[in-house]
Amino acid sequence: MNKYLLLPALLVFNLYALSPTSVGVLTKIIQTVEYKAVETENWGNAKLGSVVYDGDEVRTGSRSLALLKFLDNSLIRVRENSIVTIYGSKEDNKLNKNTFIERGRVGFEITDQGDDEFKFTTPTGVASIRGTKGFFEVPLDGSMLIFVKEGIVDIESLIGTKASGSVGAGKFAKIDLSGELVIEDAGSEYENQFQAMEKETVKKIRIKLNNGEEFLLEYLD
Amino acid sequence: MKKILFLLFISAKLIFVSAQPYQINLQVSSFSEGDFAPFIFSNDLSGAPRIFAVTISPEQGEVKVRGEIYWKKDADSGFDWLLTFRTRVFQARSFFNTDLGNTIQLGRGETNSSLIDENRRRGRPSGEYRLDIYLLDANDQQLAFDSKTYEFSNPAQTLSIILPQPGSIENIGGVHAEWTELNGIQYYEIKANVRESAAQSLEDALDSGSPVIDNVPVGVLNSIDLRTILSREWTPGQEIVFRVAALLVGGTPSDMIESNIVNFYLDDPANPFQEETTENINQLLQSLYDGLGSNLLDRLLSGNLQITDISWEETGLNLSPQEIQDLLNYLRQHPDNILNIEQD
Repeated sequence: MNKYLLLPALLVFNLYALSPTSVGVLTKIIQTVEYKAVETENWGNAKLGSVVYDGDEVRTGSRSLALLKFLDNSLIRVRENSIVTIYGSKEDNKLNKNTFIERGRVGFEITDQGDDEFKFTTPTGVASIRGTKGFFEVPLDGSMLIFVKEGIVDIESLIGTKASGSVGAGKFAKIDLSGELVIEDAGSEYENQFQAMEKETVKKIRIKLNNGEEFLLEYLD
Repeated sequence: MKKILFLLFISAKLIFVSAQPYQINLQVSSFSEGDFAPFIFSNDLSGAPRIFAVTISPEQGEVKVRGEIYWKKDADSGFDWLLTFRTRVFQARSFFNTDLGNTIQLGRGETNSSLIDENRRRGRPSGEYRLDIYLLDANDQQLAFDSKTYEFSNPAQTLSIILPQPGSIENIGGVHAEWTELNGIQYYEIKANVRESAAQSLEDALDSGSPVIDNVPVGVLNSIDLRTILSREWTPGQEIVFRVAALLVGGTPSDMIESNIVNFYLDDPANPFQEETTENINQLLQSLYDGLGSNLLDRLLSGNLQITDISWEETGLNLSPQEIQDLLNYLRQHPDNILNIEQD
């Protein structure tokens, strides 16, 4: 009798195990944000509240923004003209996350990871994060820049000398195409950029001209 | 015998006249709120235009009239007594309300002062008014009665400032102020003051220190150049708060209707806001790498167009000069945070 009761439970368990790992949810979409599920070839318009699974991709158009909230409440802000791939893998009770930034700018607010792992990877480097804030920038040439606002990030070059180091709060690190790693104090310019990246509320102002024409300006605040 | 017959004839006629039943017909004229306001607010029966007419027939004998006005303020309330007027004895004839107190002498009357005040506070006649007219003989015995009800469907009037618009930039040399016109007004009164900081509420700013316009009566016109009634000079860059109050006919200063308080800013003629803002937005648009806002830029570069107002889309309120400056600084620093600029 007991084994008949167990059958449905086992079936549900197996289906759960077969389904892809959900990693996060798109909590904000501003202007052009596209999404590609790992098992498909085509990009489609992203929808607010879409669940992002292991291997899914998100890309943003000009002057666009996507906010992705992970299951552990970590947050990334995918700014304009960016492409990211979100990976998540379960290992025992841990959910290890890796965000591959192909290009663009991505702000991050990562919660304390405990035993979990949260990594960012770019064409030239990889960064391990354990609860911190900052942003990445990956220009078209594939080099990598990271600014750390709070906490510490361990960074490692994936090419050339495969240099590594730790980037503390108020510093920025750059890995160029040869794999060289430079860590320096960040100036107010990076601080300003970080503050600007945190803005996610859309505001509108109406501009009136003396010929009666009117224009709407939308911005993030 | 002739004398007896004559006396009988006269007596019969007198009996016939006194026995003939009187009829009274009350007609309420077509009138405006403005006509009715002084009638109801100040109990000025003769001072108001023709509001009602009373036809009495036959126009024979001596009669008196008692009139009672009742007010139903809204659908949920009943008719409450507002006022009573009484004439002295007069030779029966038809009359208008304008005759009362003139050709027909008025006697003792009473009013419900709290309801009259409530009417006055509303600023204009509102709700339903019922006029009961009693035709009486010299001994106050009722001879006839008629009643009419008149309904005002309009809500209580409010006093609102039309110009300047909240947060607008005004030329220090002349600030055109305009407000909604009320009925039954004795005069409007203006108060304006300098707002020293954004932390100060508009009301506190208006009531603090020495006002730049200190409750100056401006008659019954609903517009004025504020510059012409300044108590003391104002200076460029100042934020001014401004309010209008209206004294209704028959009212007292304690129950004046007050407008909303509006704030505006004084422009510096040496550094006009419009030119400066237009130039700043020009520069901002030219710095955008992707040509966003090129439509607007083209207009501004044409040379003869300027920005007159910048307002928050959500509230419709104009941005203050400081807010515009702060916003432009922010957008110059973070042009990537501009999402879109398009003609609307």
